[in-house]
Amino acid sequence: MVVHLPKNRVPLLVEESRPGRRGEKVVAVPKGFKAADLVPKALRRLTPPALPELTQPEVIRHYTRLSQLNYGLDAGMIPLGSCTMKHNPRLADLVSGLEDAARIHPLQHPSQIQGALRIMYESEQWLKEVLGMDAVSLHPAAGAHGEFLGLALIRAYHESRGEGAKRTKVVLPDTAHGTNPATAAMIGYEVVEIASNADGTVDLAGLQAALGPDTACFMLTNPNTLGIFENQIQEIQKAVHAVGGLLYYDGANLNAIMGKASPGSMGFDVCHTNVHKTFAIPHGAGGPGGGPVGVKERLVPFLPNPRIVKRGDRYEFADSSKSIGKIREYWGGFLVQLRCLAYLLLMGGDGLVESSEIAVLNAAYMQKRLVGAYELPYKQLRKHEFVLSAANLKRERGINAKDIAKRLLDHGFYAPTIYFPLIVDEALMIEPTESEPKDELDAFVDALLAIAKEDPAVVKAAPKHAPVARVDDVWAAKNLVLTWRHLAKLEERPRPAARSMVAPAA
Amino acid sequence: MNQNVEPFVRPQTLISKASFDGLGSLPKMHFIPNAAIKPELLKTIGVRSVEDLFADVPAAVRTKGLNLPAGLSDMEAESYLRSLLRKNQSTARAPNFVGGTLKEHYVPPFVERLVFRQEFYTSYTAYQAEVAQGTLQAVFEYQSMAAELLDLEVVNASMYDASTALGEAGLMCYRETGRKTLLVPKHLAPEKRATLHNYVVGHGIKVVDYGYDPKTGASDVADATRKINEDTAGVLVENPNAFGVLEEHVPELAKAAHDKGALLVQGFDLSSLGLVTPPGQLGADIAIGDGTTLAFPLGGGGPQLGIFGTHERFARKMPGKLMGATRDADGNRAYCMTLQTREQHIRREKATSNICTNETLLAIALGAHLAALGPSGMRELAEANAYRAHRLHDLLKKETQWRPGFTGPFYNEFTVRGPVEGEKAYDRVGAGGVTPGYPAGRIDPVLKDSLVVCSTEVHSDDDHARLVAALKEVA
Repeated sequence: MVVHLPKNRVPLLVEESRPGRRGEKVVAVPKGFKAADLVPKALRRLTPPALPELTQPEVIRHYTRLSQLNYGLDAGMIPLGSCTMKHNPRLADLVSGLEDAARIHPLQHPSQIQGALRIMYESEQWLKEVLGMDAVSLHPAAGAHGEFLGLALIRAYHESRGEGAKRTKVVLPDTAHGTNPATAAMIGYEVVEIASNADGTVDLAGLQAALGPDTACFMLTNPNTLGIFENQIQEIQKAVHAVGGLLYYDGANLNAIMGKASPGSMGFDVCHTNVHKTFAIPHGAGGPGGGPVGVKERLVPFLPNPRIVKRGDRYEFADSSKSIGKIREYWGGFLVQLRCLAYLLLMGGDGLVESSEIAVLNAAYMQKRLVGAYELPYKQLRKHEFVLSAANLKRERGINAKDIAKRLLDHGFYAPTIYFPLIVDEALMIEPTESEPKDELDAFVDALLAIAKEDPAVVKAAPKHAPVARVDDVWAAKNLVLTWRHLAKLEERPRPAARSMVAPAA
Repeated sequence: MNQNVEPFVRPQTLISKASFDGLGSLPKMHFIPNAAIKPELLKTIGVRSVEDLFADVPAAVRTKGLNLPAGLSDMEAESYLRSLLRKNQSTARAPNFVGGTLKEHYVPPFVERLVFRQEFYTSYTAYQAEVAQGTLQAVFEYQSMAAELLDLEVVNASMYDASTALGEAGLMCYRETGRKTLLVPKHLAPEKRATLHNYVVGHGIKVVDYGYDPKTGASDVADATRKINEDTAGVLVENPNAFGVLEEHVPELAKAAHDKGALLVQGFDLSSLGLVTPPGQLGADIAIGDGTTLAFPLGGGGPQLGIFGTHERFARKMPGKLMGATRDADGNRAYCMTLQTREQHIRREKATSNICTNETLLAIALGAHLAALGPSGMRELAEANAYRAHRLHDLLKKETQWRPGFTGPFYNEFTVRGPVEGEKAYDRVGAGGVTPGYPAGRIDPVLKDSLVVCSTEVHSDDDHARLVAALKEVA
């Protein structure tokens, strides 16, 4: 069940290129048609772009070989904390690839895309129930984009009450995802970070001290990034609302609580959720994703245009005059949301609740087996994820979280999220999801337990069995080889002298 | 005997006989392995029930399950979704001539086959570089090819779409210059304008318009030049612009911006870059565009792929992920994410952007397609686009009452003025199954009698004939 990737080296496309080859036949234009004559002289491209010249089988082989250097979820567990790497149902692939889904234009006449509008509309209804919110917008293209919309809505709400100018601050705990402060700053808010208490949860006194008439909102993830449920959520909610602030829910950890509690039941005014986490959209090596935003009634008028409304059996676009306008060009990631609806239909309400239950059960099981060999700072009861500290191993054996992560690759696993949240030393943030069978959980735990006892020199030299040895990211950031035009810089770099070269595979 | 062979387990001992007989109860979900063995896990943890793990959720915020339908089998869910999708008329059956950011192009099937390999599509962002070299190299190659097409030094790993790339460009101009005015064409699609507004408004940045020549449809460079001043952070020009007109005077606009210390942001049409001078050669500091339809299908407008390119000297201030080449501990070439110190997970409120999840899979897809097209394919693609649009342009002039709206040169999109309002034509012809174009009155109300019409290599002569016939009917 462990996954080992080949040590193949794949040349760059430009290194494989041979003049005079082509990989695609483009539809021909009639003889005598000269497009260049239609383009003003000043705008005619004179130098060809230096793209590679390859036939289609060569391109396919290039990318297939590249793919073999990647660790994917279908091959093994990806226990990244806060990332919810759960199984991606293949039905979603099938339906999103159908011509009636794939080949529609967002500005095609609405009568021509009734199916798409209905799929968006029904998707919203499902998400409203899961989130416990009054309305949902499917515009955001990712979680951080959902945060961006959420804070823009909060700004619009305060402005509508004549309080826009005075509410300038966003308060958040030091366990918050990096996107929270980054989004607040991007929207133009000042960020106030408060320290967590000894439990690893929000410090109520600290929160009270930070709140005031200048508070726009408080952003919270619940369970938080330590995997701990913020059990003082009612007190938090009252404190924030008492000063006229709003409460924002970061939905990255929604997979812990479906059916047990919801952003709505906890008193949040605005929330986002990540369809590429909780709702099983494949993560696509980094994206695309989707970040639907749910709101309570008083924020509905500000949602982005257009919204999709149902009139009789027709689905139509509707604009609100109080809307913040737009945060992306069209009306949402249709194919992404279609995948989301496929997942929701397959799971049903009961399946979603069971997902959360087993995700939490799996995490508790792993935690139980790992505590002792690794430290578990803060409160013990966690939800769908937990954060271990390798500080003991750093002290006693001189290996850090990064070494452990790299050594896990040798053991045939992907590594957890490391060095986050920032309040845990040598953090290893582990989230198994409900998709992993016990055997896989056990094998991963066994690997972590083994690493804690391995020769530190071996751990520090890891990975040895991955496609490449440990990558020098410090050099990369200093020298910036960002395209193949810059490769010469790489060749000038002195090679390490003391180490033996691994012979490239033939 | 081979010592490595594990002892054989008799299958019967593993089978749940009670369930087979319909007596036992298997968990309902087929995606959740450990649902079948809860007691075993609970025993190890040392709690009695799963509910014990939620003991810290206060009763006052608890919900009682979800009021949602029960889960369906794959077959039922597929059948239901197919029934909804049948209510769509795909562009294959219902030709669409709206272009703008999303102009439909043909993507050969091998591209989808490649990116749907599980190693790409089920993998995560390349946080563990050593087991993500496939993603890292593929995106590095995308960055390289996009940079060649734009003739700029750096292209990031992706943005959500062209409009958010524009928003990010606006913020970058502000960061770079400390100034608070963006100068944009009056002829900017309203969807992009609205997005830009939300990206910059919180920083007190003003968006000011410059006009266009009502005859040619090209930007009024003199008007723009007059409006550039010491508070101008950036000037936007799109080539081609929202009317489809090619902007001959980008270099003059770039010079005017640079003379006053402002940056030039240039929009582009990716498919045109085998034919049209790239932004890097026209004086652009930042180039923004959309690569969606050369990577993925239209998909109703999502997911999309925003392209963001700039000069190397701005790399440390640009938004978005970047992949870089380096070496590994053995001295071999390797790739990793780089300049992460600009990003939200490290820099938090001081990050250059909040973007985290992006459009990597589309960037990889676009890279694979560009590798197949090569330089000559890019030229042929642009020729085919120019041909289709000019053919349709001439056909409408000859066969219908729709007349050219502007005299300026165009590429694969153009504006026509007709006997009925653009919105009416859009509604009547569109409802009949041919979406005729984008009502130009949405860009500028004085053009309410006009449509912006796009034709690319995907349109056949028959599609053109259907548009002609449909427009004749509403005349």
